[in-house]
Amino acid sequence: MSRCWRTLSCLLLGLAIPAPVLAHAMLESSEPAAGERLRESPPAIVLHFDQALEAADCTIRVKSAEPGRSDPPATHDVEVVDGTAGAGTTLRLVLPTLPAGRYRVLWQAIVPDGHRTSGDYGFTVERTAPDQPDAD
Amino acid sequence: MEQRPTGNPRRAKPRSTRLDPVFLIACLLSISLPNEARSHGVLGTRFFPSTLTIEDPFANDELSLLGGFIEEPGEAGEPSARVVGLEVEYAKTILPRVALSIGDEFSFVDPRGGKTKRGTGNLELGVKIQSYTNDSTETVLSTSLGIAIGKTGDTDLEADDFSTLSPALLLGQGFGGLPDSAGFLRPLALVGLLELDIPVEAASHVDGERERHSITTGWGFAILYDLHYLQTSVRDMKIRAPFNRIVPLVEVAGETCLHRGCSGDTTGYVSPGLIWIGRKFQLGAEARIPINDRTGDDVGVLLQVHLYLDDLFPDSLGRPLFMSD
Repeated sequence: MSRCWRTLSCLLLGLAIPAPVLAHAMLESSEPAAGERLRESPPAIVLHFDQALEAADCTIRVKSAEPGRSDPPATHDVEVVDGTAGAGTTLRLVLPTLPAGRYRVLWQAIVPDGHRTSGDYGFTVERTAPDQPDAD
Repeated sequence: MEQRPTGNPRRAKPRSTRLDPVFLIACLLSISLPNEARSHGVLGTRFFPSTLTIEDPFANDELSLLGGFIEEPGEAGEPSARVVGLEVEYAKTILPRVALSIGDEFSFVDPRGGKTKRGTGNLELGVKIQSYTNDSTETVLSTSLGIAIGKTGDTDLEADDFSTLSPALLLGQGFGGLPDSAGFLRPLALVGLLELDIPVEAASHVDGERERHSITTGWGFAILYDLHYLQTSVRDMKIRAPFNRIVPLVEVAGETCLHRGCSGDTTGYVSPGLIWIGRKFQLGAEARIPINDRTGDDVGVLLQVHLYLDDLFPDSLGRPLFMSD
């Protein structure tokens, strides 16, 4: 067999080995939605993606967008739950009660093959819950 | 504007019983590297579709079909002609972010009062290297080198009898980093192209006359507004499927002659349109508006079907020959 054919056959062999489906997870929708103004603190951040996610490596952080105000504490871990696009396609982070103000959600989604997407969006809480002290 | 290079045919090599280093490297690469494909033009959470007129900066596995209709003015007193074209381009990644491509165009030319001509243009080959990618700043920079191979097209259509080399720089830039006060500008993205078209021969002889070949520059940019980005990262406008996958865009592209008797002569089009992005393909449509009299007077149409082969065939055609991400 010539060098060319041997090399070609080896490359074809490599191509024939099954590979996982790889793509980036794209955010389809979220709760709260981008730019949404809520009367009260949302119970959780829920992000719906178009494909299954790798539970261990996905993150959601909620930061205050008000000058001088500290970020809300992370009281829960991020969960991967089943969503409209299938099993394991939704990220959820249960929140503590947030005082009135503007917030920014920073997320990172990783699929099992390691490809990651990231993004951020904002939302606003208009009223502090009655049993919640105003933030400084 | 979409041409890429070629390599020379391999010459026959003497057989050897020794372990061939090229063979060994090929085997190691195809077996040991991770089997991985990359999806299309994603930077952070931004998706860049493949633009219709301007070459996009991403090196991907893709098959693009582009059909168009336009009335072109005649040269040197010749009548104008209605031109219907179908362009096919196939791009294949050999490494992540390095792709080879091959393309050609079939044209149907109907001159006013003249004889109809049909045939293919010169074969175009190319290589694109996605040399800088930054998710956080939504920036991608690429270089490409194309070659339109002379004498491979139909002489009826006056396909060049000389080859043309086309080195190019390509840019993609998203504007997601703008402040919240400019929130509705954050879905904007820019794609840009600057290339030189260099004939490999300075002149040729046609009917006994010496015809000089000019170096031209191809240039262009596209401004895109991503409704999906708007919905998920700026403000949910309650636009639902399938309309939330639309990207309105405007492309401006042209060619300017640099020397040899035509310095400064420019032709080009402004092309407003829409792209719809699916999971495995995209559809596009643009109007083509001439930018000056030299380009023409009539508005044309451009239609695109673009297949994401990395999503359609992730285990075979859609992944790089060698993978190292």
